[in-house]
Amino acid sequence: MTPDYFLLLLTGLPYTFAVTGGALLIGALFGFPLLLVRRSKVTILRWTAVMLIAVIRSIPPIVWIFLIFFSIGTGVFPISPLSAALVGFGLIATANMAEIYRGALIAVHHGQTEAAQALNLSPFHTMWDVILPQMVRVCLPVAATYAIGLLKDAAIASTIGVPDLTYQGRHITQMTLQGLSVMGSVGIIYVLISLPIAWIARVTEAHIRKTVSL
Amino acid sequence: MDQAASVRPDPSTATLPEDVSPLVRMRHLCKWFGEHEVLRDISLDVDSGEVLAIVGPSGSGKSTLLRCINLLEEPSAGSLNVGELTVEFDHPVKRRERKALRQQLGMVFQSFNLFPHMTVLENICLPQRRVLGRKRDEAEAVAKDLLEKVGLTDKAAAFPSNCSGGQQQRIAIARALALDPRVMLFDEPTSALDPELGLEVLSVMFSLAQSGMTMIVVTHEMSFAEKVSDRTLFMAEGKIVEAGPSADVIRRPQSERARRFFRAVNGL
Repeated sequence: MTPDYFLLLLTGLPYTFAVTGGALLIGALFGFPLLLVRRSKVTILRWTAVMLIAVIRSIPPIVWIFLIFFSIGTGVFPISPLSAALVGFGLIATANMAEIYRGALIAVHHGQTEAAQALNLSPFHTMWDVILPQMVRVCLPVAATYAIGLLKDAAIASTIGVPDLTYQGRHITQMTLQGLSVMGSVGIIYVLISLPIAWIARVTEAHIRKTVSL
Repeated sequence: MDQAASVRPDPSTATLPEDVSPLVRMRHLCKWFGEHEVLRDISLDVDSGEVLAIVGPSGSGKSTLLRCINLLEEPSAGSLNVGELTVEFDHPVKRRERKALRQQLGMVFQSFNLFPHMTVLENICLPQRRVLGRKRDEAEAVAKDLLEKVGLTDKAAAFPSNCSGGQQQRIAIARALALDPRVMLFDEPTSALDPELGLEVLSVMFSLAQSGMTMIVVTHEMSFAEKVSDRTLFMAEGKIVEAGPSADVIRRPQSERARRFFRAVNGL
């Protein structure tokens, strides 16, 4: 593989980062309100959230992406491949982050809420000052692991024409017919991105175990 | 004889004559968990400056009673009075009532429940700033003063995970006191501690009692109940079985249920 092709391959990186990072950001942001609805005292709201999360997580990512890009995107209003990928993976990440947050919330000892209530902290400050900071600590390693999974799923965006790493790999392979070296390079690049994330996950987890006994 | 009779007028309640105004007054308090009646028609008065011990077998409702006072559990019926505030449980408790009630009450838990992500100083300062609106300097001054009182000045910058159980519980007491409560509630404060560490907590509670704090203490420490508390309440099956001066209730229980319990406690 010539340097020119390698540079072309690397032009896919920003798209891979955009889909993964964008979806993760959307999920991290909207996952929290979804968690609150999931834990609402109103039964209908709670069940709507449960169903929504179950449906989003049951349908394979590739089906979601096709659903958004080919049905909604071509019919009702046109949508660019990148936007379709962001909406699709953002949706999936929202459901998954809500579940990750829920696990973290359960992991925070119930006595913490009771202590905050007994001290007369408002519901907002109980969440903001006491529960949320502990949730974040519990979440980080789990979220980092999820981010690696999302990074790999995001390769599906190449199927609707997002020019990401996988897309460029396939494109260059078709031009050069050097599948081994090209797709091998793609694989190595994915490993090189995943490793630091996994390392961060492990370090934060060890740090949490040491400083915060939950 | 007359005096003894007036001390224990009715074994099912522990109330003062109606013309005396107690700091905490409960009337006909009931609590159901589903079909299960955990508290049955509890009426109880606690005077200002009084130390009341609540003892009894597990499942007797003593912790639930304590948690009903600051509404961690909401009573199903009856009424509760703390200071000038009256809450009737014929309707769901309003947020305003809950706030006003908790404002007057401090609580110490069996499992300490310090906030693990904050330093000791922050643990004591945060509620003051959020609930009472104190400025940081003011809150820190109060916190340091209280840490000195519980003998932990050197732990201000430490995290709870670096403190022993006994130290954590003393910090929890300081955190509750920082909000200037009129009544302190203790829910088995030494049950999670080995005897030596329990002792340092008990000695802080003892000096708190000496300073005139009104205290309601759910405990298994009979020696604390006997030596420190003015009155002891024996509960079983969600009812007050006996109430009276601590020495009387612990040394000379009148009901068979209480006699059986204290015999078991004394290991006889």
